[in-house]
Amino acid sequence: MSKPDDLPFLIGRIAAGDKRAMKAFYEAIGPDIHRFIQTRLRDPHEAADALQETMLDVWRQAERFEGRSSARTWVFAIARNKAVDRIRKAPIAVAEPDETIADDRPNPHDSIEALDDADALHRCMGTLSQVHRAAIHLAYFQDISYPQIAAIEACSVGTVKTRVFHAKRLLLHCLSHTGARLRAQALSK
Amino acid sequence: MADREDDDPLQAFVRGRLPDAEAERLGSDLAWDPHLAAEHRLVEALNHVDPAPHPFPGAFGWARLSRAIDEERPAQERPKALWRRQVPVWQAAACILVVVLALPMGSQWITNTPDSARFVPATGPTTAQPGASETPVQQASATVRIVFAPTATAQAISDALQATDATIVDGPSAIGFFTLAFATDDALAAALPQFADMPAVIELIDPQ
Repeated sequence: MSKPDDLPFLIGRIAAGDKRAMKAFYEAIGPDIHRFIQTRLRDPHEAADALQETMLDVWRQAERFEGRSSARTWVFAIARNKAVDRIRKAPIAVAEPDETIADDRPNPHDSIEALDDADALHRCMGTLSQVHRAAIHLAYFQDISYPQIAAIEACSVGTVKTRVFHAKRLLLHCLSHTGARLRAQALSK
Repeated sequence: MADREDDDPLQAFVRGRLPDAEAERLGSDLAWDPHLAAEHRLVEALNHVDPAPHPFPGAFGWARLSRAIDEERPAQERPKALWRRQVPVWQAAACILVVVLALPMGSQWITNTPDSARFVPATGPTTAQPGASETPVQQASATVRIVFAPTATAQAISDALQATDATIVDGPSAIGFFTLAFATDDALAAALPQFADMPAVIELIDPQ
């Protein structure tokens, strides 16, 4: 895990041309950035290249970092732009999943049962659009505040709240259906 | 924190940031509201489930980045490196010849390499060759050291390795060398001219 307190210091050193500081920065926050990029880019090579471009931009732009946003927000925003650029340049646009929510209310017991299956949540995350996956990832796994997510995603705080709310509903529906299926399978045995 | 005011109270609860009174109220609501309880379980799970399907590029990624940074530095700031010298064609050809002649020594070195020294490519499937053993180091009999071009993409590197049936078994060194292993001497001999035709991917072949 990165240590947020170290990042502004490291960026200062990077701005002075200190390559060891760049390595420390890469090792400190690179894994989190790589995870975030993968919420948008599923191809491992694309994700690795977007990480490389992000870190190269940190090296190039470190002297322009003024500390108006947190260092973490700043580098996540660069990564978001790199990922979005790659999606736009893709020769074939990747179709986003149909996120229409059925009228039925998810069964909470089925959702909870599905959460006991470690793979169920991964599968349900895979059914989300990349925008919803990114919002959920930033809000929960990365524990980044809504205003900071808004800065990263270049949108309003209201949009972030809507995305997180909608993504959670989609996940609960998906988990509910998975749980119901698991229950039916158990009964048929 | 002021910028946390709009955040999901369940996230604040899970992370222990919710004020005691609110946490107590939420705790009692969780006991009777199954929908809230399901959402709470979801938020808890989202805090702990790593969504990344592919491992962090790690040392391999740093080697690429380090080289790209060196490319951007003014020439006088760059470290003096072997591959920056103008190497005449005859010297390059001699280097390749030395590699081929040194294969038995290379194979001896590679079979003596301890398990802990193996480099597992961080991009996972990029170097997993069809039909390859899970322990390519033990079977490899031919190796060569190379430097990837700083501008080479992960896809291009993966393609180059697959095209030549090469596996990264060590690296990067402090100056960016990777050791590639091949199943047979013939495979290495066949790969060398292919590497020579890939200047955008492989910048230098080192005789070791």
